[in-house]
Amino acid sequence: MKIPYTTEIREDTGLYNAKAGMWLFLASEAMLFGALFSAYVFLRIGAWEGEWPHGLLNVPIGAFNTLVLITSSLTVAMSWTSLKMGDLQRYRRFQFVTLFCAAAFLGIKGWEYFDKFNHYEIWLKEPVSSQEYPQLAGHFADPDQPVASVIGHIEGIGPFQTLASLQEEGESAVELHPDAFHYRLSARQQAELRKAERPSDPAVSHGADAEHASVRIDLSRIARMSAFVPRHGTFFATYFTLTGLHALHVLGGALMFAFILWPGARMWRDDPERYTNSVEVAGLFWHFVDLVWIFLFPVIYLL
Amino acid sequence: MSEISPSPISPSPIALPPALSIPAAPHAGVQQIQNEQKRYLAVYATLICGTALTVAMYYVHFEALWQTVAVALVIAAVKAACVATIFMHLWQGQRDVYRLLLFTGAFAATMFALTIYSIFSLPGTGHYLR
Repeated sequence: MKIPYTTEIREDTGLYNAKAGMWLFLASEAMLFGALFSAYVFLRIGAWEGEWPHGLLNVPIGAFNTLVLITSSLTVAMSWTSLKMGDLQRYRRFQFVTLFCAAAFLGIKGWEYFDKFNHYEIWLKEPVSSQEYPQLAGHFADPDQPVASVIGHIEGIGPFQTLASLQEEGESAVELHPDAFHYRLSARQQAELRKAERPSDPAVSHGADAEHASVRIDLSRIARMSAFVPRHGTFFATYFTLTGLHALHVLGGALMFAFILWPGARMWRDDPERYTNSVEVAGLFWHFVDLVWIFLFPVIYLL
Repeated sequence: MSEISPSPISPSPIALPPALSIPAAPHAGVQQIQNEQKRYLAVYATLICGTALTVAMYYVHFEALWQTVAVALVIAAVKAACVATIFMHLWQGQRDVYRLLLFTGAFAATMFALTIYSIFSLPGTGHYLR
């Protein structure tokens, strides 16, 4: 049985069927991500000063991942033109790069996730002052104002730990390596603190030195602790939802390209034009995924 | 980038079924495809510049959040327009796709407008934008 309009253009739509179908699907995808973006905007703008975290995501890594995805979009487009020229070998080379970029993007994203799963916030029963804990200097916008929560990596415990799970394991205290800055400080405050002159004592300086000056906190002083996972708060709930859904799309697109590249390549023998069209349609999906990330990166990482 | 060959496919170094090495006829003019590839490279360069600008913006601290949001979204919109028009071939004048996107865009804009409306109408919200 011959499937109609796999290569020929329908008069009513002006497209071959697969392309029309993909555009309809992308329209529904735009609504899906649009709804999530809308929710994000609502939550972000509704948050009071200090409630929305700043500086928790690694901007250079996010920017690098953006470049990886943009490069993959280029190689997808170039692979399609290679097929239009009848050059299967060149198409395959470009698609290998595409798959490599997809794997790199997911690998980097996975590394970022893993880092967050091992990153903790501790809410203390009693606020602490900068005099008591000079290692926490980056947590104070105002040195005279005590803070009730501290963030950083905790030595010797795995991901996803809670206060209850540590108590069950018989722990009595945790060794926290505090972050250079607390996320409650705005980007401007963090920049000003970074610029400000600090004493040369590593225990009270910022940056890498400060991260090595650990703080020992007894579990009896902790009211709550959580890794940077969705239940931590609104920011991470939206962060993991948006980036997780996007990462699933990257995975789906990569699997689609891999199928077309290997088992699906038999179509090239029987119907090269249809095969070329399948790459174009899969490419439309891939470019859409790239397009979503173009908005996700500034919204999640930078604002 | 390697030179574009208008000739039919050459034998693949990867193990393929023998039948797959049958050459296929090119489907478009060589010059046309080469022009298309130049456009892709130009878009790629634009996207890289846009990403660099976006990151640079992070280190410039604007007075109000809405200024930061506006600049970030304008850069993102330009980048997205490049991807949609060139990589996704929207510049080729696919009328029915335009109609579909117009409907989707109007629907999404309405949804965003309702969100923004609710932000300003509910007590205790929207303070960042005021």
